[in-house]
Amino acid sequence: MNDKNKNSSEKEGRDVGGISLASDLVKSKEEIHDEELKTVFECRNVNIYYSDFKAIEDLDMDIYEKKITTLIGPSGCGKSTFLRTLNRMNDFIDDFRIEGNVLLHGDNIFSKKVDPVEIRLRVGMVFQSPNPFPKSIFENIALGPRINGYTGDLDELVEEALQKSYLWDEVKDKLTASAYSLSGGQQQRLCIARAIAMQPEVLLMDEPTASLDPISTSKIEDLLVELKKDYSVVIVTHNLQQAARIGDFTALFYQGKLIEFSRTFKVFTNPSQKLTEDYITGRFG
Amino acid sequence: MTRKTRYQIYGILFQSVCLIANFSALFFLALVMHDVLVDGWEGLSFDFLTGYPSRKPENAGILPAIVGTIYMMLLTAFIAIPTGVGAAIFLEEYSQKALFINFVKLNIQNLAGVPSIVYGILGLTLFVRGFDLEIAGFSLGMGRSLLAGSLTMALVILPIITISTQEALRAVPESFRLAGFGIGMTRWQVIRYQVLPVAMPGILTGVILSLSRAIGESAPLLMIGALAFVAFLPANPMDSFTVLPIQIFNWASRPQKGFHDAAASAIIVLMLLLLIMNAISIIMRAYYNSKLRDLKN
Repeated sequence: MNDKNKNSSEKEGRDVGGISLASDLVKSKEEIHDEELKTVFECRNVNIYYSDFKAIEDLDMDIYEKKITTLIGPSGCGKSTFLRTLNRMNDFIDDFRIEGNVLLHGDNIFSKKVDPVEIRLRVGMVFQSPNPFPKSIFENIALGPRINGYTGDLDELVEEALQKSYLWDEVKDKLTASAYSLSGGQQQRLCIARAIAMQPEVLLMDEPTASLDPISTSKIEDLLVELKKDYSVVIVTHNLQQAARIGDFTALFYQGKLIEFSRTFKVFTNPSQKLTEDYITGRFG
Repeated sequence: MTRKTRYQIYGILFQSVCLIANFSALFFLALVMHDVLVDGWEGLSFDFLTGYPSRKPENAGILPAIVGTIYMMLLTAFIAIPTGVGAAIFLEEYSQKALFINFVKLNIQNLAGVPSIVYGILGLTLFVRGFDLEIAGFSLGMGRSLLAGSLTMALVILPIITISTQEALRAVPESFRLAGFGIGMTRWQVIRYQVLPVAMPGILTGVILSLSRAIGESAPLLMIGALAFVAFLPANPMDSFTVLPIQIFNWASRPQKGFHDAAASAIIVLMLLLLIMNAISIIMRAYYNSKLRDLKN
């Protein structure tokens, strides 16, 4: 029985969930030798508690610059908790407590001297369901920079952010219209544009396509792959195919523990843990 | 009789009971209006509106009461709105979840239920008499002044403003706040640019409804001794004053029929003022709602 499973997973190897990984495999093999990885975040011995519940246990993990890191795992495994830790959004949760170090370019973001607002300016966040401000499309993007004292040309900034999020052509004639007149997928890209306009270093995304249709989803995926030229992206997803399609690195969380963290092609083709194999082949989760 | 028809009858019965309840409320309102209009309509003249109190009912006017009411409303609003809205913002947006904060919230709810005459006693001790304390020969009390009355009235409506503002703030979806924090807004920026614009219709409704309660309150002002016979217009906040409910109460307690009719006329004026305020509240709410709705679809 075990042998049979092993065989079948080996056979599936390059074709997990119907997605061909062959190109990734080739590309990544080259990268392993050619490129030098720079870390953005270093997490060391991180433990996170919600009152008595231990949400994250003994986490050691790096996030690399200008790569897409996908976080996968069953519901309640701690991946969203970890994501929200990276820009201190957990501060709003009562009873949240953290031990260990989360270093952003070497500085502990949970140090007493650090202002969480500074962290969130450097590490932007996009949420599961699109949540534009109840304002115009233009204002959604311009508001943040303006109230933070942006001195450049706001029109230019808005256009650039919308260009980068591939939304410009769809909305350039109705910038004063309400953000809620857009479709769900457009709204989500607007939210990404809003985050980009703040010129962060890292973009965190908490299941950004969970509430979108397949076409909008693929647009956002293309966008993310494009964005990693300029930004480091960390994305939580329940969609394994998505994780495989867009990820450079993939981390599997299970019951608050980091089970496996490696290059995406390796996680999906040759996982080192039995648990990973079971999860990506859909045997639990 | 089948089961189904029996339940249909229950439905009709319940509907009828609700209808009767509705009509009885309307009936008594109509009765009051009729009574007041019959007695007071004739006395409602330009001279009545612009006249000063008099010993003779046919010469009596309510200008000081109208002006006093308007002044007191403005002062009360000026004191109570920033305080009440500010308290609510602190409780909902800034305070951490703590036992003490829950205790404060619970007590604000209780304060809203305290009879207004109790606030009158508080106002009398605190604002009118200033605990009978003197500093360098000056009394800390403000006497029976417009300011003392407004402060007392502000106490009456503070809990109402705070509670309705809290509810308006709680109705703002959490996702708006998170969206702001997610792009690095400070708490003040989130409140200023995300929360308050969305909560505005709710806050305004609460504020105006509480002011229209204040306009009709007489018990606390009786307690602090607002005068019924004021033959001048209050020129500054330290002047003595009267308001419409006090004037009505005073006239209604006189033996002469003429004063009773004057009281009825004053009631019409008071009700009109109330109606105007409620209308403003509805218009403002509709305006802000439509502004938000434009943006929501």
